[in-house]
Amino acid sequence: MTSAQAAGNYHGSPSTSGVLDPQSSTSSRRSTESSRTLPPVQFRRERTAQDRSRSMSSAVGPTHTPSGRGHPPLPSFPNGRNSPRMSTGNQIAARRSPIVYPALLSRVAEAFRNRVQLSDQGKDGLTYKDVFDGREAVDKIAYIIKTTDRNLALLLGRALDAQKFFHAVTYDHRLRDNANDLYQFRTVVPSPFSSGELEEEEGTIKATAASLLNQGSEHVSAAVLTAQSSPTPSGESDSGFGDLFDGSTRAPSPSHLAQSGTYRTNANVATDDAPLPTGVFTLLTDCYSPTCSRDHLCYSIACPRRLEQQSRTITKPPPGLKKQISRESAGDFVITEPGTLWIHSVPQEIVNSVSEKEKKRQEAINEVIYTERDFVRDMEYLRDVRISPLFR
Amino acid sequence: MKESDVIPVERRTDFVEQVFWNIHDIIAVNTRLRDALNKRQKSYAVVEQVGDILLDAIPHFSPFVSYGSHQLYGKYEFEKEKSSNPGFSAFVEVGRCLVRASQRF
Repeated sequence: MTSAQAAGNYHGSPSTSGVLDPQSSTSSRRSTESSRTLPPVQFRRERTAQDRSRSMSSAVGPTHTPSGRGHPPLPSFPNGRNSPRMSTGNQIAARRSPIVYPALLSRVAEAFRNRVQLSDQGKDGLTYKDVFDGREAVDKIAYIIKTTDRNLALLLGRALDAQKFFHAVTYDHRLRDNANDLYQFRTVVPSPFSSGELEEEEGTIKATAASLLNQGSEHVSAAVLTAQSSPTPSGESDSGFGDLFDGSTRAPSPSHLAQSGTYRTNANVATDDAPLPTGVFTLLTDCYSPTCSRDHLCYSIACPRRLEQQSRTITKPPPGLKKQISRESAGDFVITEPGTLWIHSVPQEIVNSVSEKEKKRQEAINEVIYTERDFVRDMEYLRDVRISPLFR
Repeated sequence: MKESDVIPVERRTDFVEQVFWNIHDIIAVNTRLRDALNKRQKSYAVVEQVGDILLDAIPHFSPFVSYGSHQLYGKYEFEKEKSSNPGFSAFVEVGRCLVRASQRF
């Protein structure tokens, strides 16, 4: 009908109908000579596909068009150039799509708490109840977000422990990818001294997270943005926070949809425990660009997936990386200050007069001495800045 | 809010003792050791030895044993207070910022 009408318009009275009804005029022209006119409202991507497939008589869908055969691919349409690869990438992504939207800490935290196995384990002669070990934690997080990159999973885990979701049983280090390190979930200890503070809990945690962020010195929390400060491109991000136990009406993935029935029940149980962490792990957010996929490099240099894409397309991350990170964390809380070297503290003649071996020995002795000075200074700091103010 | 109100007065002494235990003994032991080492370093440009000083100090190291065995209890008390007392939690965070700031100098 449209084509008949359009043809009638075109051949009959093009001038009047064109003036009176621009819509029908446009559509009429498109139907007859689509190669010369622009469709009124179309995505550029579709138009390109049309234009390129024009030379071929078959009506092939845009994603399967082996475009770029006739013309060199336009740099601004990476989608067209890589379309065959992209479709395989999508299949892979569908096969290992994350269990929850991985950028939302609350979702990951909940999935993690539901999956991790708690047991009683001993360490250093003490038995800890309801604990899990670091390697298992990283395993589970990697499974939840469907990554093979243990380092990424570890970073996400640290984003969770930065909000005190769980802590080392000895309270003295962050999450490590190590079976010997034990962790337990944070539990809200009902205060015997005051009541009605549970409501404030959540605020405190958020404030803590925010202050950690502001310091910016902890590399993990730097990647986490609080809800208020992050302009998130995707709609489902917004639904994740604010309300911790939001029933996930806007589920980010089909697998999540399947789970959403149980989601609410779990959430009700969860209210008995400590509140879940909240925040966005920006490394794992989706890109705002609809052409961006996991497996090829996004055109945007600010794309949150760019690092992941680079490592996927160019090189695999070196296997030794995760250990380095773990070792770094051991020194997180150690205040180190380079002491002045012995060699700088004595006159040059004396330095010249001793052997190389003696120089090394003097540096070692010097290190013993300044380490002791630092230690005493730290203790005095504790006494004067941390303890005394409590009694003042 | 005054800092001294962070922990209610009736359990303040006990809390500080549980968390910091015998830190004053440790400071005393190490201050003596530090002074002896400093004195040795000031007396000689090329220090012959420090082992004798350490040997003298080690018999007085028993506070470390006591501290170490109580450390986990202290950590537990500390974390418990932090999670049940928002005022204390804020106090700890402010102090942490101070530490960070002082590290720059």
